[in-house]
Amino acid sequence: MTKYIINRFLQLVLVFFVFLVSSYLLFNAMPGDAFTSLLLNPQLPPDAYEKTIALYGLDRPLSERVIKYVQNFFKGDFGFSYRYYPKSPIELIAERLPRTLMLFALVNIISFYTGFLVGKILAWRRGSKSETWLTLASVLSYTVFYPWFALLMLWFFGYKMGWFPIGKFLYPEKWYDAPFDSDVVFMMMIKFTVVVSIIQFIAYLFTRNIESLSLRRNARLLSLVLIFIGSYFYWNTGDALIKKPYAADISFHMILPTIVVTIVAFAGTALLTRTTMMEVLKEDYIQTARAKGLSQKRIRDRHAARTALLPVVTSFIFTIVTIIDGSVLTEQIFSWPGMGQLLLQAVLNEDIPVAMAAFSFVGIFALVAHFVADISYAYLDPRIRIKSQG
Amino acid sequence: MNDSINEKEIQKKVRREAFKRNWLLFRQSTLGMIGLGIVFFFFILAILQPILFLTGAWNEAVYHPVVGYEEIKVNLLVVECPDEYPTEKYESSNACPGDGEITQRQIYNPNINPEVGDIHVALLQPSPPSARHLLGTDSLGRDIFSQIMEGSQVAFLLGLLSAIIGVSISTILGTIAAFYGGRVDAYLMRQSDLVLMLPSLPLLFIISAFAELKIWHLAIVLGVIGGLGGSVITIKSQALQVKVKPFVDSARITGGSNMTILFSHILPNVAPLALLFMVFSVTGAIASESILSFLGLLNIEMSWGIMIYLSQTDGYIFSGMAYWWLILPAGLAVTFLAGGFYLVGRGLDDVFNPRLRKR
Amino acid sequence: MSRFKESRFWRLTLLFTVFALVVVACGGSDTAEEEVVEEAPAETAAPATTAAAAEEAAPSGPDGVFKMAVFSDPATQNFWNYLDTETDVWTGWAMTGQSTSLYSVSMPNYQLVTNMAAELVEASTDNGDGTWSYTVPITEGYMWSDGTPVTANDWVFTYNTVKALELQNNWMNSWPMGSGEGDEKVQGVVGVVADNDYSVTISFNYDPGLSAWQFGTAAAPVLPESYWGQYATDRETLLAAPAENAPVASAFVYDKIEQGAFYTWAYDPNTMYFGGDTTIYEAGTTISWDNGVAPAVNESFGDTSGEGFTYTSGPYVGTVEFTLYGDQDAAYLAFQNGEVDFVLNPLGVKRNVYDQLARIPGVELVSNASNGMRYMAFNMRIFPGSDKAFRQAVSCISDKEFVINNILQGVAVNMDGQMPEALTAWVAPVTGVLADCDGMSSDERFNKSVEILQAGGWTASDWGSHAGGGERAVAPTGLKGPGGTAVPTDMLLYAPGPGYDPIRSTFSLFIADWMQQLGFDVIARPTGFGVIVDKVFAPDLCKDWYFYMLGWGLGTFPDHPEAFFHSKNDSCEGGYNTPGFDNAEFDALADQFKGAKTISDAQSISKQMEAILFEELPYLVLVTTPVLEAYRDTISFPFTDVLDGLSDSGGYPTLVKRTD
Repeated sequence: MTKYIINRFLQLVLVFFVFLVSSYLLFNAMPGDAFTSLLLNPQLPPDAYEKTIALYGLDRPLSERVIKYVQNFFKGDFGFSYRYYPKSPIELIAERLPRTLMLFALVNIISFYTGFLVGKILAWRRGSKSETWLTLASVLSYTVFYPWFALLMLWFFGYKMGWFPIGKFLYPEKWYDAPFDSDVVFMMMIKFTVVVSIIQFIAYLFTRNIESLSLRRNARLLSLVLIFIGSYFYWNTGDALIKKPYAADISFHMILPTIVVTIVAFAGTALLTRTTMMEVLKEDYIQTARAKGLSQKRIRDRHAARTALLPVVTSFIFTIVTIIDGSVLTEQIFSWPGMGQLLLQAVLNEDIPVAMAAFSFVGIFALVAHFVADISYAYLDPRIRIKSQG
Repeated sequence: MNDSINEKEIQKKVRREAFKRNWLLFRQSTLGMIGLGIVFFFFILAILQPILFLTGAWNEAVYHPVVGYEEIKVNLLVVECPDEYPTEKYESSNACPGDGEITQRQIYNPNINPEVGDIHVALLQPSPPSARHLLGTDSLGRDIFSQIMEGSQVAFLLGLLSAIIGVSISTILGTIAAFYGGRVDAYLMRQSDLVLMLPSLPLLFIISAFAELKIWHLAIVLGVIGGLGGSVITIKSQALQVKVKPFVDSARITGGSNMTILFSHILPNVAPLALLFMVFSVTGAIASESILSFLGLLNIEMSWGIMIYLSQTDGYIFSGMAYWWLILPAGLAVTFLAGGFYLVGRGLDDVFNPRLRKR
Repeated sequence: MSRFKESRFWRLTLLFTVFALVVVACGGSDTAEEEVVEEAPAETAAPATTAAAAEEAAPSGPDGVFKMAVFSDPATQNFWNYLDTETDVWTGWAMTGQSTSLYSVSMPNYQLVTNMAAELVEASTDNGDGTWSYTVPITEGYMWSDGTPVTANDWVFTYNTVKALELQNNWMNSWPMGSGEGDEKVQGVVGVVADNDYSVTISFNYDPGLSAWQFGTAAAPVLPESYWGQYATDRETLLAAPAENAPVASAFVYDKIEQGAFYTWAYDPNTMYFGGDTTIYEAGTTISWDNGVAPAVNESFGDTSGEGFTYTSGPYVGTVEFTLYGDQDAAYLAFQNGEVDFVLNPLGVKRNVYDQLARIPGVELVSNASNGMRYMAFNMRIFPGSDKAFRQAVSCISDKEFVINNILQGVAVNMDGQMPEALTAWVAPVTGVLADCDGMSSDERFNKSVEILQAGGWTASDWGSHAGGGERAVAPTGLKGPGGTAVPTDMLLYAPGPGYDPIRSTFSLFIADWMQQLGFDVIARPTGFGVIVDKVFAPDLCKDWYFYMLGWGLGTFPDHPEAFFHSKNDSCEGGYNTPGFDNAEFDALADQFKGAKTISDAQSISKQMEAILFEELPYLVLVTTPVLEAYRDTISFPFTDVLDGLSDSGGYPTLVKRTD
């Protein structure tokens, strides 16, 4: 097993290396470069362009640049952004990442949970008319032309109804006198959300084996109340009290994007849950449970759902990998200046150092997720992998 | 001699019956049938346009989706809007100017300066749906219905082409990985990892920046990226399951070459899954094209994404439903065709995955 | 079944809890909110009292907020960095007045006026050693916001810094470095010397004209040594230096910077840069400024005869806010909701948004011409672009009016020459085929074009015909150039696709079609912007294309024809002359133009150059676009009629008044 892991790890390093080189070559192959606009400014002396690309080392042969980049990369030097010179890509990512994490962690949790619930219902009601309609609706929300849909929602709720702000993540006038910048508040909100989620999850773990339905419900309600009380105290003491109005402002701006992304994203999980759960329901032990006369509800929740959860969770892990990728459109439409916008702008402006750093960030994330998944598959049933990809 | 002919006929018969049986199963799936209906509807739209042009029912100068143009003139009365509402004539600022009216401020051609009370002859662009233009015209005076048809052709061409390319690649690679295992397998799996690592949308942005990307170039690119990615892994797993089946062993024992086993035993058993993948990847290809066009990154002349992009660049997407024919048809077309293919995939899933069938 | 439903309810409750928690818990009770509201005035109170102390000097301590929407995050706050790295408009608009200059231009008439200089020095001194100098007196009494005086040393410091640290891009435009001798000579500045604190001498290694001196180095940005001296050690340090508290030579300083969300400027209560009357004439400007703190100015520039109008400078607002929106649509929706007063937008409002805004009471609309042009270039190095009759025939048959009025419906404005129409004194009368074919119907255009070709020595087996009306022409067949040269087939016309620019895309389709009707096998090819640029500006590909369409944005001083068409700027050698236009008469005029010392000289030479271009037609200039803008009537501008629109100068934060 150790040998397998080591072997696998070496492969991983190799893949990452190939990934770095090939992304660099891809960016380089794009027509023009970050400084093409200089060519189009007749006010500048004609050699302005040559001088600038020489300054950034872009006049060196490609092979030399690639080697240099990879060397520096492993030394931890990512160079300077062309557009935001002399900021380094890491500074830019550090500034943008909390905003993306906050919004999309929340969206993913909510849409995953909704999707799992809907999927469960779909599988259970197999063959009924409501199942057909619900599936149809899920499929359409899964395949809806996302940017178009998001713009229409923004128009309707932001402008026509005026319930939510139109884009942005804060109201400037509320922040004129803020003694800190928004990233501080974002970090605090992320911490809060993570802690609450963990408490919630622990409460779920402890209560799930309670047999009595009403007792279980009450126990969960109690944990909920505790969380409420806890967070009330948290937000009304010390540091958090000062940040509260700012956090509230950001939360208010998060509502519309959260709803819109959830509508589009839940269906994927729902459709996957439906399939896996239906397979599970055919398994022998479920049939046995039925024969034993256990209640439908119990079979569904205790046996079927739990088994079906496994592949769905695996796919969820893979979804997390695509957070940054998926945030590109959402952030553009909702004026949410996070990683997605940074990546999009860097690619369009051919700001190679920033684009490379963002790509590598996503790449490392994905690679580690794959690695962990692969190792666990080595222990677990290989069938899980088949299903999770379906 | 006779035997082999008989055998072929029997095979044919078996295949025909299998097809019939599968069709019957597919028909039982309501969702699959709905999907098939949607796909069929758009297919009719796609082939109808060339027919209309060829038979002369449509004049290309008017109905061409890209350079067609028809002058629709309207007489508008130049009015002045009051400062305070409501007035006798207008209830709110939204009602002024009313139908057949225009204010001086709205005429932004600096060479024309009509007085209040004059009749201003304007070209009606975009024009609302009429008998001549079933879905109206866009801001350049082009027929929307014809554009939808053109977009449908683009979507089918792109979706099917990229799906076929993608699935061919992933099926062949997946089967090879399963069959040979070892280093070949390790290489192919890492290659898939590599493709999965690249953020897909930004990757498409980069590719779209390359020289003169036409629809069929894009189809190949999408196909290759899709074909090298995660689907190889899934197909490999399926092939692995087939590989250990008794009939593969017996084929090996009776002296079947690797090639024979690969092509006559493993591939046919992976085919249903591959078909399923193909249908699903059509959905992805249509969405990718639309998003790229929507962001103005593709240099193609017409597609559903371009239609939405143009209505957005002209600022119609935020004007609500007043110009619904510029906003809804293209967006719904993308959604429904992609959804249609997805539903067909669901239907096929029921057919090929017996565990999911109704009792 | 009922239990099942109940349970689902609980799950849903649970589901929304996580999110609700954040919102509800953050929202908190009303009392908590009030506490914070109380905090706000307490903090702003401090600067307010300071402003009150300076009340005697500053008669009106302005308050109120001027809110503008922007679509892109400024890349930096550091002025050195702004000019050096990426000069995008968004960064420029959010720059405080960190620099000053000797001369500047008054808006909206683009008249040259003094800024820090005590007088306009327009004549150079020939030093006899191959250098020419301008000695400019600097007005005594101006101060940077940190209290240090503006002196000649700041000019020396800026020049030396640009030179020593090899600053790039726009620095090279305003401070071109002269070097070398003879053939190696690069024209530029060779020395900046402070004669005393209030007199600076700037020397060139050639005798510069208007564009290099008055509108070039004399208008070049200058920054204070007192603050920047400590950072001017190397390029990276200087460009990375903090600029939030850098001294300015204007009324606003940075206040709150929230990257990715908004920027604000606050009125500096100690500033001396407020007030002053500016009177604008057709070709002249009078400035009269005496606020008791800054040195008094009372001067006239240019021709101050005729009728003029006067405006008084502010600032009239205490805070200027730049709020970031992801795109235009969101920004204009916010504008409609009244969240911002004005949208900074270099391209202007979209057509339908303008229509929609016209319906909203309380919205003022402005339409100006943009300072730019979109054009089609012929490659004059290869046949048929090299043939004059061909270029003229194509220009004649291209019915721009039809495309502009019918297809594009006024989103574009016709442009024939190189000069924007708003620069009336510069515009030359249209001559040549463009004038001859103006107003012709499609069949007349066709016949005229055929005539031009025939007169140019072209032959055809059949010259075709045009039935008139909306019909297409029957194209000539067997066309041969003068001397029987065969016409290439499959010629491509590169133009941006409909996604990048619908105007050029539409034009390319129509013009290719007209060329086809004239018997030329030309196909419009929608192509990515970057791909076209790569193709037509690459020296080694300069013979590999036939036609392309792009656009130019133009500067304050219209010296662009020299850059576009002087044979020494041929793109085969890396210049801007993409058509490969090579005309000795034009080159001579262009050289004269570069040395011209007065505006009227420059204008008359420019008109002669334009006449040659109308005859030769290396470019078929297509259109310019109107810049449509909108502002809420809660604010007012002293003028709205200005080339390139209100956005071009960043929304005039020092002139804008709140009217509510």
